[in-house]
Amino acid sequence: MLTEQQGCAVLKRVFQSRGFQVQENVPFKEDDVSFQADGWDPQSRVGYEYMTHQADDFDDLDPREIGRLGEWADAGRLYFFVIDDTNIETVEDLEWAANRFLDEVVRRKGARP
Amino acid sequence: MTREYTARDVVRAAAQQNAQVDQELQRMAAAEKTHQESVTALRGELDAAWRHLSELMVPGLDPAALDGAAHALGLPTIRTDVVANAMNAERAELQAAVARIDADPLFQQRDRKATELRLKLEEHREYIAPLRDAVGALESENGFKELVATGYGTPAYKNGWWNLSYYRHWKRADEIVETEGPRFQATDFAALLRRYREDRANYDSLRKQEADLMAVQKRITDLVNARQQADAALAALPQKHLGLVRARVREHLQPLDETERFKLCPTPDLQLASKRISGVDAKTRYLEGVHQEMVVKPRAAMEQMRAKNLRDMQKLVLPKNQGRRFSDEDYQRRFRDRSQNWNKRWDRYDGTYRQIVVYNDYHRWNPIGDFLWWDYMTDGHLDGNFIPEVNHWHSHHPGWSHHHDIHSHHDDAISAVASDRTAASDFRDAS
Repeated sequence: MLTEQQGCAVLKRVFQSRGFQVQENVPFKEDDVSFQADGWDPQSRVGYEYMTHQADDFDDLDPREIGRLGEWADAGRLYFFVIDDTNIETVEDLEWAANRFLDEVVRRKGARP
Repeated sequence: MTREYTARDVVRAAAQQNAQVDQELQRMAAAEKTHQESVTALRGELDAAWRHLSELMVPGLDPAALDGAAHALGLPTIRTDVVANAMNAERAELQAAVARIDADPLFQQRDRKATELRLKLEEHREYIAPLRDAVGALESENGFKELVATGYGTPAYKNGWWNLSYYRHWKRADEIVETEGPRFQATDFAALLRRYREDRANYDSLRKQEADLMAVQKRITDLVNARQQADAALAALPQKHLGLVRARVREHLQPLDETERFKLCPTPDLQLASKRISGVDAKTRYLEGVHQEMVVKPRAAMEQMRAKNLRDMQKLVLPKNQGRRFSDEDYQRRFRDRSQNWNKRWDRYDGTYRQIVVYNDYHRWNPIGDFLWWDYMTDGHLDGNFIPEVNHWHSHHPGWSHHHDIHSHHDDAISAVASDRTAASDFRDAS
């Protein structure tokens, strides 16, 4: 089982290897959504947020806000990969999922970052 | 010069005495076990004696026997009409149950139905087995139940593509399709799910049908068993009611004292049966009394002696007590050899116990109520005044000599009962 720290390191590596300029632990605020983002590329508007009870993330980012992030991803406004499932057994599983997410982002954006 | 004993002498003597006490306690434990066995055997004997008396009083269900006994005992609940009514009511109930079972179509066609059900069940099980294997294999796949619960592979699935769980479900679903897809002829999870749901529905339906068939099978078995039980109950009905009547007779007689009971026994065989009850009952009381006096009470004293010796053995080895001295008088009083006394007690116990156990001259019981079984059982040779019943009798019969008085007393008693008997009619004849 991966910790948040290990998970964030994996995500940063995958996002960077795909060309995203990830900044870690940056404040994010747009409209009625605000939280401390685990990883965020303000240029490409692509990032990730690792939800763990341990880090009180479920308090920082509530279900309404998660819903808003989903709406914006569907609308192509910005793309946050939300790690809503903390039962991640292996690094490979997380790498595979992050790459599939970024494939979809690239497909929707129509271009690489 | 008087001899003195050291603490060490006392410790050694206490240890020796405790070795003897331990042997004695072992012997008492063995006697206790034997006594309990004797009491159990006597309870069985008493029960048999009561059974014998009630059988003699009510030999059968014929009106003469029932009405005669009812009249003589003043026990209307065993009158012929009462017993016949109860028996007829029960017979009618059982016959109605038999008729209901016989009229049941399932019972009427039970053999054909049983064969049909067996074949159908075999057929069902042939279909069920492969479905159970397939459905079971899929359901035991890790994560499959979660995928079904989230609606993965259907429009009901709500996880967004930006969530990690969406990808985890995707990956797991692909793995399951790879493992189980060929068995269900499915190449994607949606198809696998459709086939699974069809198979699961078929499996559930077949299991339900199997349960229904088994329920019918059980109903047939229940009907057959109920029919057999009703037949057996009908066949045993007279014996059962005879048993109930005899139990009522016993309940009626049991609270009476032995003289009152004897008055209700007009024939020699009934009288002897009643005397046997009286004698076996007395035996049980006496054995208990002898055992209490000669085993239970001395055992308490032995245990005290043993405990005191143990205490002293611990105390006297302490350095502060090493210099203590004990007089010859104290030493002898405490540690003199008691084995002779103990053996005498055992001889008395064994002799008395045996004499009571083997006694079976129950016919000697004296019907006027002024009689002591103890004197008969021990032939007046053994002192039983430690038993309250014996002591009470002797204190009310000062100067009584068993050997002298017994024969004349017995003759008087027989005459007394003969005159009493005019009050209690011979119920055999009364019918």
